[in-house]
Amino acid sequence: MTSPARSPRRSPSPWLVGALVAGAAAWARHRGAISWPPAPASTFGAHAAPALTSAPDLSPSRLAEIEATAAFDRQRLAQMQHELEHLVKVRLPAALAGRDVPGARYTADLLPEASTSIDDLISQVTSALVEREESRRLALVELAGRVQTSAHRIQQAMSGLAEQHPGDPALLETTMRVDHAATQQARHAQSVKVLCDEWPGQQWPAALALVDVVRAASGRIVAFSRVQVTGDQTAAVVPSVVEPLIHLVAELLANATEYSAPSAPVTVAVRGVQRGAVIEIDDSGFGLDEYRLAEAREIVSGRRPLGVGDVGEIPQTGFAVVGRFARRHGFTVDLGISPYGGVRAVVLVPATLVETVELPAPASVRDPEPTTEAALEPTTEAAPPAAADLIDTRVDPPADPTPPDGLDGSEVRLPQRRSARRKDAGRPGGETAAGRPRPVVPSAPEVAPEEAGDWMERFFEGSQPIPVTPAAPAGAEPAENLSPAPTSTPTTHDSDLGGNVKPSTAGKDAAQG
Amino acid sequence: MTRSGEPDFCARALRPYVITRGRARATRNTVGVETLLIAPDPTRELPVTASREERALVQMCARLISLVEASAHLDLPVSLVGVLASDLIDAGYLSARSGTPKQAAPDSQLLLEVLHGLRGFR
Repeated sequence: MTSPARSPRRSPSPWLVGALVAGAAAWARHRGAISWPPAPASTFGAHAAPALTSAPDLSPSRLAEIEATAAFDRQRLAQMQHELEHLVKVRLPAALAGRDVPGARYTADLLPEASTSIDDLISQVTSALVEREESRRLALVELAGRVQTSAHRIQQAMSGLAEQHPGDPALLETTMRVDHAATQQARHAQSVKVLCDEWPGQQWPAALALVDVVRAASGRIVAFSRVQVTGDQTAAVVPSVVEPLIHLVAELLANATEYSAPSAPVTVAVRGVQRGAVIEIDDSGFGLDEYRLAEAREIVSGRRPLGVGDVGEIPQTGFAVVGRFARRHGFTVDLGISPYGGVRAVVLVPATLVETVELPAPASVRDPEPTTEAALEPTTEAAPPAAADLIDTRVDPPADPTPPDGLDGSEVRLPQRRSARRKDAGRPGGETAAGRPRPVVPSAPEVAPEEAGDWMERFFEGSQPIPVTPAAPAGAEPAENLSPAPTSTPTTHDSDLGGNVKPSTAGKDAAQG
Repeated sequence: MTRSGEPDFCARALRPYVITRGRARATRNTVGVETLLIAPDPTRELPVTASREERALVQMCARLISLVEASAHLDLPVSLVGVLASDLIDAGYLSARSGTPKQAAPDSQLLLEVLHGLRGFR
């Protein structure tokens, strides 16, 4: 219903027609110019027939006349034979190959009927061929589209699975493998579509940085981890050509990785130039010889467009796809000899398709100096903490024999919370309820991401560095006590909390900690 | 060109395995969603091969930021950002911590007040 059912083929098969014509020509050649059996009765014998029926008149003039007629017919037959040869050797092959069909050579000497028949034959062959090609193209496009759709479904399912189980690395790894395979499948399907003159329907919503275009492209080939991208981080392409460019680069990367050693990296450099932006892909394989390089350059530049019927038994689709995209979107693609010994592919994206994107970042990445921190924490030094003073999980914290009183105190006293609970377990929580303050909580929208980070920092501030290193043994226990964060409303104002509650009353609620 | 029957698939162009270079596991099992990240030296140049996500992450971590927030800003799954952050911690571009600078630590009285305040929510 969705796809109109194609009517069965009415015109004869071009191959059958070709075989018939070839047979006829061979037969004609075999019989030579002497006789053409159906001819005497119909066309060719038109002049000869009266002469033969009136046999008795054999005067020399009559004989000469007959002789002349016969000579004329012989010549016409010879022309016909030549024309048939021309048809079989030149015109039909051209028609079958889809090229322009050259005209008849001996039209002047042929009977008009014969000439017309031959032209009919040619046009039938041509139209049958075109129709068959188109139907094959549509079938291929449809099948490739289905494969691509199913690949996308797999990707979608894998993304969903990975999101549902964020904490399971084994599962995440499997989803990545499946995703990788499905991505390549989608690329191959799309290659078939492109070679069939069907263009990708997928549109990306935003411009994509060229370095990310290359990385996205690397995700569509087998050896994605061998691709190393460097260069301009802000040059990007407009959304309309993101998908074509990803696919184009993927084909070049596939070629580069397939034709170089499995351990060798494929280096890609991105740089802005006066006329747009350039992606340079170098491999360190053996490269191409002069003839094949010249041929490949013809193809990738789009000067020689190849279709799905031209790529051969072992399909070398990559360059053909590159050429088609280059031709359609105005990318300039060229190949050359890489300084690394292999092939260097250079893609120039015209300036009209290039724009600039920034790194993803919070709305305001502010100065590292925590201005709010000083206001909130009177004990904080005005200067931002130096990097060396940060408690770091990588290295041992700097030796600090005399920690500030506050920290020391907290380390000593905080464990008391647990002991306090044990001591006062039986006490009702009346005092806690009475002392419950209603903290003034800043409304959520006002909290910038960085402030939320500050809040978290403050939330964890009693805890200690993650004990990766044997450092800070004293910190381990408080961290254990405080780090599991109960769900509570963020607040940045410590003074809003009930400060007058006695420590001893804190007891029974520690269960949430 | 897109047929109507095709599902509207709009995943990100950069697949997760490309972002983590094929790894699903962070090099550090201590990096969790609540881990706070900070770049000790945000001006330090990343290697030329560093990805845009890594650059953005280090830039974000000029201020202390939790992993889960960073992943929200990067619009990436937390598990992926955990892998990236672990790499950057290994390479020394980021520090992970759940504490504060020592001299910035508040006194115990303040901590207790916070504690009681939190309990007061019940």
